[in-house]
Amino acid sequence: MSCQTTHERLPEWLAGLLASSEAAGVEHHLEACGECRAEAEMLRLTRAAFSPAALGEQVEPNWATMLQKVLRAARLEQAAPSFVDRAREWLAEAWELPRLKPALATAAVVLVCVMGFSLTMRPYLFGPNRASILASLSVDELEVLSEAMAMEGEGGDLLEAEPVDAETLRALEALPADELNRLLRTI
Amino acid sequence: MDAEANLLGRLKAGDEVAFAEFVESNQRRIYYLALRWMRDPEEAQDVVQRTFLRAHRAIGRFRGQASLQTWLYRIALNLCKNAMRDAERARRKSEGYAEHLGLERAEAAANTSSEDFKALRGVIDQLPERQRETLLLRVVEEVSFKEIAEIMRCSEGTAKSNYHHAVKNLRTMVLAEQKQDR
Ligand SMILES: [Zn+2]
Repeated sequence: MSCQTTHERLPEWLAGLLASSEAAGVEHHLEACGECRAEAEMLRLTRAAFSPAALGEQVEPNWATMLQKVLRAARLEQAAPSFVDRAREWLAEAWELPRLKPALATAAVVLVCVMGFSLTMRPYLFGPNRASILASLSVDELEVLSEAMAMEGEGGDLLEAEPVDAETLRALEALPADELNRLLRTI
Repeated sequence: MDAEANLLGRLKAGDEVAFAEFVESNQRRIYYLALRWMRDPEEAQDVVQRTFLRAHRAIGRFRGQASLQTWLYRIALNLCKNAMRDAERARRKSEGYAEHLGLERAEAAANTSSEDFKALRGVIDQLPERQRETLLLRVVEEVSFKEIAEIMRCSEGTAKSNYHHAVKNLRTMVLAEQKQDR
């Protein structure tokens, strides 16, 4: 077995996951090759350094309790969908209306996100001045919101929605007030 | 239909029993993944909870080209990285924390001192982020290159190359440390 193959198989070998013939191949190579032996030892220590005990955990968590917590939270959330879910629904409706340019479309995601956020945090935003207040949100604020949105699209390509980049945020910031208004009206 | 497709179908249909099974069979792995990143049991539990909540929320949109476990890994890893980015938490808690929990005792059995482990974690922390992630996923989490590629959104070749460089750099850094100690 070559150094390259050994190098690629060491993690499974250390975990005891290799078939016996493959494991024998690795071991045969390790006997003859000091370099790979040193690498194996370093990786063994790496595994040990990140073992629960080495990270300070003395007792395993209570899995049953953890499970119950997750299930309870999921049930609660289902009863009251998060703002992002509501935002996504609005977006789905708004999406079909204007044929937005890609940059604008991403901006709309941020906007919807801001709207959802506002619904919880800033009810006054829905007054007549909502567009100007929205426009006054700082880039930081938008970034936090867009990050929340990007995290929602978790799994990226496995789901949908790309994280919003700085350029889009700048584009959004530069949107004229009437454009913002128009977007808001479509939601 | 295989078991995974069956489970996915039930999850998408909002079957609560299926979700409970899904959490139960994955919470352990996700918890230890989070513990390795957060290095704090409480924060790791928090990541577990948020990971499954996000999965629960998004399962309807999950397209299923990767395995459910790969998807969970990606969610958990992103949550960990985001939490670590938080300036407060970025200051790794491992050290003081591990010590006052009696790390010495836990590691005496392994015949390597806690100082050695601490030093090694410190060296690994200095690797470029993608390399460190790949190394830990590959060596500690025992994830295949194919899965790493799916979790980190890169090609399998890139995953292999990141791993190769991580090991090479780590070797160099460890050797440098050892020389310094002498
Ligand atoms: Zn070799």
